[in-house]
Amino acid sequence: MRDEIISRLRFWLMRQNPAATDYEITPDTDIIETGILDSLQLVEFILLVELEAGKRILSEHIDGTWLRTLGGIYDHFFAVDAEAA
Amino acid sequence: MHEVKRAAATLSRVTAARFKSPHQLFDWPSAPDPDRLAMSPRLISLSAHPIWATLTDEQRWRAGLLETGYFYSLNISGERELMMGLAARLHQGPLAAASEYLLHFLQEECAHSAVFTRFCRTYLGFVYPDRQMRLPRKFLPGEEEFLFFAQVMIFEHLAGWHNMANARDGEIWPLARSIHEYHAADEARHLAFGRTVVESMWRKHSPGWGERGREQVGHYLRRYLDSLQRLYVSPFVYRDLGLPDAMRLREEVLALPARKEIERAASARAVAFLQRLPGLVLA
Repeated sequence: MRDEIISRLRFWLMRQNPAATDYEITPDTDIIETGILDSLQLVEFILLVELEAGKRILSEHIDGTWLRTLGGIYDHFFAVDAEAA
Repeated sequence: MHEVKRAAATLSRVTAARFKSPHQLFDWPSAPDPDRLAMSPRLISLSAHPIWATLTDEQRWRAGLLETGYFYSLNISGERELMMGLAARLHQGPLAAASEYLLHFLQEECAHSAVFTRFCRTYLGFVYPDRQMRLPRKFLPGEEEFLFFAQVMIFEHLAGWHNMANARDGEIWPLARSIHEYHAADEARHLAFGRTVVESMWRKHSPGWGERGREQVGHYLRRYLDSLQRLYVSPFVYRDLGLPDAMRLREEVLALPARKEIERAASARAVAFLQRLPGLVLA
């Protein structure tokens, strides 16, 4: 489940941003610090994560580390539901 | 910035004479008109998609209501950003000399937000959440100021086009139509001011950016425009309509020729204005 969701999010990032193919987007890559995700792509990315996870993302999630890595996104927005399933 | 100061003085006089409390402008029925769409049918994003033919009249009516609420919510988000930016510039920076008009501007944006919020809370029961967030980035000298006003201008041009297109449709729910008319009238003044500021800032700062810098700014604005156009089509509206696979449906809607034509028409004036700025290429 974890690998599948991270893979889907990684695919989206690479499709939106061809420059991202230059990076190894691991579950721990900081997608904001590395510039893989910028402000203009962030809204679309949030839509994707919210609809996939069925949870709302707030600005404090960005100030923290949850939205900075694909692993963090999975752990914070998907993992609880996956474990309960 | 002399022309900005002059425009601000004129617009301040007009605004002061015309401003009315948003709480006294409209009659607010307890429920939406059950016999009219809240949005002009061609502007309802699903109307050009094959799924439209499969929807019941009730679903189409609800699509119009939700998309109207979503459009107003999008404006609430944009106005929040705008109000924060205007407040930060009231008494410092290049626009401090126009602070009297900036206060009018703020007052009008606050009034719009009050009207949009009341509509959403009364007839939808909620405001669609704001998903726009800003990440820190580096700017060229003066670029942040220029982009702030250029993005505001693009946002208002798009919103204004949708306002006018709905206001011209005499068949839609009169309250929604009146709100569109009211917003469009105020935005016309904001746009007049915005264009003056954007042009003035471009003349002042862009020569120092070099060709590469101007290219980057043009590219950023193109991407901003495209991302904003995409935001007009919300998967959350589709989800709230009970339609399956909302993200896929959204991509299909965005690819429709009819949608592309709406995007072209809505952005035409903003694009034409920006492309007249010497050295700016929206690409």
